[in-house]
Order: sequence, then C-alpha cells, then structure tokens
Amino acid sequence: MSTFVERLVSAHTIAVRRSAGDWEDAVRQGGAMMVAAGLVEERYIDAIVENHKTIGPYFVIAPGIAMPHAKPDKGVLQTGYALVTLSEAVEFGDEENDPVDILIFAGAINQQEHNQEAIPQIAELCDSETYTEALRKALSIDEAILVLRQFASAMEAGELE
Amino acid sequence: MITQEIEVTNPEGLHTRPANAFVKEVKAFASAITIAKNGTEVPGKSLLKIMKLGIVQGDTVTLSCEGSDESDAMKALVTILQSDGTGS
Repeated sequence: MSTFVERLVSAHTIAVRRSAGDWEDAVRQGGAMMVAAGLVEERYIDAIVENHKTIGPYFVIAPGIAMPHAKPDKGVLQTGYALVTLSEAVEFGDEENDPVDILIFAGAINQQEHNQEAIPQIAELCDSETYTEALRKALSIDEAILVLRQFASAMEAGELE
Repeated sequence: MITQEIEVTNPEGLHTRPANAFVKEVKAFASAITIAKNGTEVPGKSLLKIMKLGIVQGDTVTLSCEGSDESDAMKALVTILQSDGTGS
C-alpha cells in the first residue's frame, strides 16, 4: 500500500509545469502548498532553505529530482507530501543531478515514518524512469495523479524493479 | 573480498543526508562495494537503491568491499554507519 501516494493525492498538494526563478523559489512554491494544507508550519520551509544554504544540496537525490525535507522537529504537523514539476528546470548546485524539474516534498511527523515510509517510497518512484518521465510530461494535476496511481499499483503488485 | 556485518548506530539511520555521505565515500574508492539488508543487496554507489532499503538505527547491514583499497573502504564506511549523527 503506497501511503505516500495516498497522502499526496488527498492533501491536494500537487502542482505541475510551474515556472520558478531559482531553486529557492521552487522550494517555496511547494512549501506554500504544504503550509496551506496544514501539513507543516512555515518554519519547516525556512529550515529546508537554510539547510540547503548551509550544508549544500543534500536533498537532490537523482538526475533532475529533488526531495526537499527537513527534520520532523522543524515544524511538521502531520506526515505529508507535495509534488511540483517545473516547465523549465533550475539549478540546485548539485553537479551530478542538476538541473532539477521534479520536486517531491516530504514532511514526516517522526524519524520512523521518515525512514520507513517517505524515504523508501519516494526512492522507489525516483528509481523508475517510466514514472518520472511520465510525471515530467503531465500537463495537468489530474494527469500527474493518474501517473502516481499507476506507480502505486505497480509498486503494490511488485512489478517495479 | 572482505565482508562485515554492522549494526547501524547512527540515530537517523541511513536516510538522505547520511546516505549521500555514504555514497560519496563509496565513489572515492576503487573497490566494488555493496550494502545489504535482509538479504537484499544493492550497489553502494546507488543513492536511490540504498534509500529503498529503508535503513534505520538498530538495523544490521552487511557491507562487502572488493578491490585494491578494500580495507580502507571498509574502515571509512563503517565510520559513517556508526557515527552518532551529530553535525548533520
């Protein structure tokens, strides 16, 4: 059961083909959706931006894909996610994986949900080129949801690599 | 080839930041390195595949290193898995 996809779809925190001036703008756009959905406090997004500035792009996890997140105690209200795709990719300062055009935000209420739900399920999605390519091509939120549900079914059926 | 079973004591497990540090360290060595949990073995240089293992504090993982610098690699990687997580 992909709790990640269920939570993401039910929180209405998906935006596609956004335009962003730079990495911080992209992070703030997704962050605003999480705050509006009551998943995190504003300071959680500030923590992500601050962490990136101090320790570098630790959350860029695959070519073109970032997973912005901070620690649970930085203002997470309930475990949740957001997805933003960009019409034009932006640089995050990660030589290997720049530029980024998919952002999958995670906010977990505790370390356990972060390590056992958020991380493995998002990594599963990012490791599947079929679904990340389909997400990049999605022109509407409904199309993106369809892709996510197809991914969730494939994962549950054990059809992913 | 050398193999070692290690209990992960890093309180954050091997999530993004420590996993990233782990992968960077793996790439610095010439040896072929794998990490396994519950019988699932993945390449040490693949961040996503390591993330999929969902390694948490208290898990036992098996590290294997094979190559000219295998003992140095093993030493460096064990340090990351057993760090106390401070400073990250």
